[in-house]
Amino acid sequence: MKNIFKSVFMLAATAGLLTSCVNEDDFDIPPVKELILAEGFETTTTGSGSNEVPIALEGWTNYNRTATRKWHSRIFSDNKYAEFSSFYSDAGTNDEVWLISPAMDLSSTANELFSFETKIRFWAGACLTVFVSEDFDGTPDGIATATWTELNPTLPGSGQEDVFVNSGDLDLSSFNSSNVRVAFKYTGSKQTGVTTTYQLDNIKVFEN
Amino acid sequence: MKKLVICTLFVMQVVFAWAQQNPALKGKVVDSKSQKPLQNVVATIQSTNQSALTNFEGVFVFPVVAEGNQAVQISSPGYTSQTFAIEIKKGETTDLGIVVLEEDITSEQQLALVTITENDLGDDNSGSESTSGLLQASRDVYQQAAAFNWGQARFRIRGLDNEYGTTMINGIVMNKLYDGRPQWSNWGGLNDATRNQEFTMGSAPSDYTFGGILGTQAINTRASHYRPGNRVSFSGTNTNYSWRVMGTHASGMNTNGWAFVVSASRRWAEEGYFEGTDYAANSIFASVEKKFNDKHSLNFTSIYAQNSRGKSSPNTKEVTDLKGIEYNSYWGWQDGKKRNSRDKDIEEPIMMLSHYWKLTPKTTLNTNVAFQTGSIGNSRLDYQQANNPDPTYYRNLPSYYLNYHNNGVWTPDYAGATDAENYFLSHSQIDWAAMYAANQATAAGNSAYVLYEDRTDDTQITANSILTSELSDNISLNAGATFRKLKSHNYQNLLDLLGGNYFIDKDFFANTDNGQSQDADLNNPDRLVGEGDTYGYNYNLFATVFDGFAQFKFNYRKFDFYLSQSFSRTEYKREGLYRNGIYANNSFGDSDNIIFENFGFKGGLTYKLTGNHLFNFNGAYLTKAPTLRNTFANARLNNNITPDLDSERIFSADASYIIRTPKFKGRLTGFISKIQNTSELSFYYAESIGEDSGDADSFVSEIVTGMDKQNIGAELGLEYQITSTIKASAAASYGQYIYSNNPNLKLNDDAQASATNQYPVVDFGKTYLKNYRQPGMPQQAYSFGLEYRDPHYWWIGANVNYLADSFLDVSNVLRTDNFAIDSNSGVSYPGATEESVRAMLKQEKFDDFTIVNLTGGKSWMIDPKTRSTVGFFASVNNVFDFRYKTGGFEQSRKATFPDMQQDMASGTRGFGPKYFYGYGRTFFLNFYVNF
Repeated sequence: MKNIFKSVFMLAATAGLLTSCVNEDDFDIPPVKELILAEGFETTTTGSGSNEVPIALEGWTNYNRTATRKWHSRIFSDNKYAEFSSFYSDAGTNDEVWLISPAMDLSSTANELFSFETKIRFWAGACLTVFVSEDFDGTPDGIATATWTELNPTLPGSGQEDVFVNSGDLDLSSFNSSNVRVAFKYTGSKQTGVTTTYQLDNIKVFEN
Repeated sequence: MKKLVICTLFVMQVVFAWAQQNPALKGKVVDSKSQKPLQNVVATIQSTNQSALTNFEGVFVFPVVAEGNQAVQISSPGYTSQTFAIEIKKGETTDLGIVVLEEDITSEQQLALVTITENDLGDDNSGSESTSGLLQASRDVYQQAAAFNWGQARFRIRGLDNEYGTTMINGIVMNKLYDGRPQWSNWGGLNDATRNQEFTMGSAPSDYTFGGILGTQAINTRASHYRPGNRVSFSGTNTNYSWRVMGTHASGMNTNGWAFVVSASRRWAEEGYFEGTDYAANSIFASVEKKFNDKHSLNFTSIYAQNSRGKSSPNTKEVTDLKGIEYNSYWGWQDGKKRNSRDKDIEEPIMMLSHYWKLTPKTTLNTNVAFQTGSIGNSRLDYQQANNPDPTYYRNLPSYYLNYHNNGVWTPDYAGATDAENYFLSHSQIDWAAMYAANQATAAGNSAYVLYEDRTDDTQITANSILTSELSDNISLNAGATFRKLKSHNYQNLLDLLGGNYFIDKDFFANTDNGQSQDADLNNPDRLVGEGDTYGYNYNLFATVFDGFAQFKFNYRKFDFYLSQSFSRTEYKREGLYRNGIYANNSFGDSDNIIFENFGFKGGLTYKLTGNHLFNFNGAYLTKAPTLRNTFANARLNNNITPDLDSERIFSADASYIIRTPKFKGRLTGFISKIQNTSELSFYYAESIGEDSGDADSFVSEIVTGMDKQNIGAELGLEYQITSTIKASAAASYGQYIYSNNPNLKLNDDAQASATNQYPVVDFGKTYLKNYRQPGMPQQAYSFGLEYRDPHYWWIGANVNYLADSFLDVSNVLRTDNFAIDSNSGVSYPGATEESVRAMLKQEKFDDFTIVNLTGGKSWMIDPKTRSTVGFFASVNNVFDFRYKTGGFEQSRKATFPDMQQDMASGTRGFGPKYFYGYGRTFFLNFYVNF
């Protein structure tokens, strides 16, 4: 009888302690919504005038499929951004310049949103389209073979020059692979005079 | 002749007692030195609550005791208690014969209990003290260690606040309705007069109340229960006071049935342990009893304890590094004297009338009526359209310059920091002269600075009846009903204009953008006030509480068990006496009535394996109404009721193994308690927490509801009599006291009130507190002590204590969504990753520490006839002068990740946590004469 009591008591006591003890580092913290992608181009090297320094960020693809000039880095009022304009391209050429983000793993996140800011100068026709892909392989040749889904961002147009305009939150929740990329495609032409200057900044992908 | 009368009376008493039938148990108690009979010694049948007192002749009698093996304990304050194993047979009288009690000179130690004052955390007028609950000496080894050795480090039994314990005087609950805590100062300094005490631990049954889950303390001031005699003592110490004198006289019951006790004491210090903490306390006590006949006695007790003391400031690490641990920013020189701006004054006299009625030999009814009225005042400085007079105001300190940011870029101003440091070091106290000068220099002659007090004037009536009856040999009943009615008048009382002519009764911080007024009272706008005037806020709180309990106890040879239940109904109301300018529509007049109905059940079992080995189990489930303090979200200004206000749910269970042999005593207990759905209100200035972005500072009340706490642990107490003179004792407490969920947080922000929004509460969602430690107490404590008691009435003792796992009080608002997520962008602030946020919000754990204490004393018999003795008691606590933090709290001022990051930029935080420190080496020396 004595032993039964003793063992039941000790068992209950140890079981209680073992199952309920929490480690000091087990505390909860308030939610953190880290940016899955955050690019403000602040680490890039900027050029000026005719000296263009192409964007060459780790993991990013920057490629002109029809000519040689690429998205390049500029600075204005202490703020760096990516810029392209066909105005400075060689006479008679056309530009199809892609700036494609590194692959993002969205397989374990939910309700992802994508936003960026755009500023235009010297309006001469719309040049920018924005896409998402889940099968781009990261090579210039892959641009043609990948599947691109076009998004519908808010972009500045004629009469909205010289201020950064927020794209609005673009829904990426239906893209759940580990190879999601967003892409900015500039389509302009020195030949036909479609030469608006586009500046890109504050590219963000985040969980809502 | 006189002797003859007394003798006859004794004989008659004995005859009366004998006449009923053969008593089950009797004995006679005498003093070891004088061999004289001892009156009012308590004999208790252990593991039941049956007890009897000795009469004039030192004789106690139990008419009925349950059959079988029992243990009877003979105890009296100031004497070493004795326990006897007995066997009760039906129809036979067990006679213990003559029991010799030895004076326990170690009991003088009780007088040296360190009085720790509360951490003044809140900016509200919480009157009571959050000292360690029920830390009074009982005979349990573990509890003695908790009281004498760990109490100075703010140890709390089972990690529970003393609102979960019940403190009674003559059956009247002394826990305040405002916050549920007893106001110890109401009878402070009356140690002699409050020596008759009974304790229960955890949810174990008390004869007087259902109680909480921490335990009960029942002080008895019935005049006939004091041992006749006189006592005068004089003490010196260096804790919160320097000197104490105390005198007590108890008459014992005379032939006409009268008994009285009077006691008085004074404690004072020009400066206590911390700088600028003056202390003055006067206490008087009187109790008189008239025994009308064997059935009826009336007792009247009055207690008047007045206490005034200067408080000391908690300080940030920056300030302590510059000024040291004893630094107190609350005082300043005035006319060559240290004047403290934050005094606490308490004066709440108590009167109690008790009726003791022996209905039958086995049934008693005790009815008490108590009346208490008085005031609590906490003084502080008020200022308008002038700079903050606090020497440690953040702009006065180097950290303000070291952490300076310009557009988010860290631009430390080292020269400014050096200047600030030099200025602070030479201006580190309150500058009274400057405030007088400023008040005389205002254009209109009004005071820019005044000294005021937050006043609480309570008047409470309590009435209760407690029935105790032995229903049969094995079954006893306790039942009681209590009615309490409180009127609490709360207001700001202007104490000193500091040389100005008047003060403007307006809140110049109040936001008038929404058409609000800055007037404190719209019924009396543009008011100018002088000394002694009420201003700022003014309201009454009313509480009416009825509660009842019934308890059955069953005692058998192998098993004892009990069942107990309670019910209570609580009603609260606020009545605004001012129509506040911000809350014109809901500040004046009556609030809604808030009613809570609560119940509780508990039960327990003792299994007596043998007389020496026992197992004990207790369980309780109860609900508890929120305190009056937590019922109104912003009681100073309006009638709004705390959102989501609900009763707490409390669950508690414990299991113990107890061993009692003549040489070895021990107890091992495992316990768990869960307190669920509790709420916490606090008041402070905050930054970056309003809806408006930017640096708007606002005074807010923070409302946390639905909070769960879980306390698990084990306690151990061992005592071994190595030789007849040497005793070793050991005690250990291992606990884990955590927050076990993520409760809800709302902020009441006056700045956002408008004519259409009279309830400006902003929902911050969850506060992520799960698995944080409950703060302010060591969760582990270990003690080992040795004691030598010389037969020639002297003794010495030493103990070493190790305390660990004490944690900082974390800020709730820092742990909401607001901390890491920028409400403008919807994503985390730059740099806020799971890793960096976790590192920043990790709860600070204080260093472990070791305290060594020494005690000793000696007493001399002057006159054996009168049992007159003189003696002294001395103790040195924390012999090695180890400095340690007893608590502290994070400031809620920098409530977002980047704000906090900026505050940490230089490594010297301006808004870092504020800490309280324990005493270093202290001594206590007491001389006494008993005659």
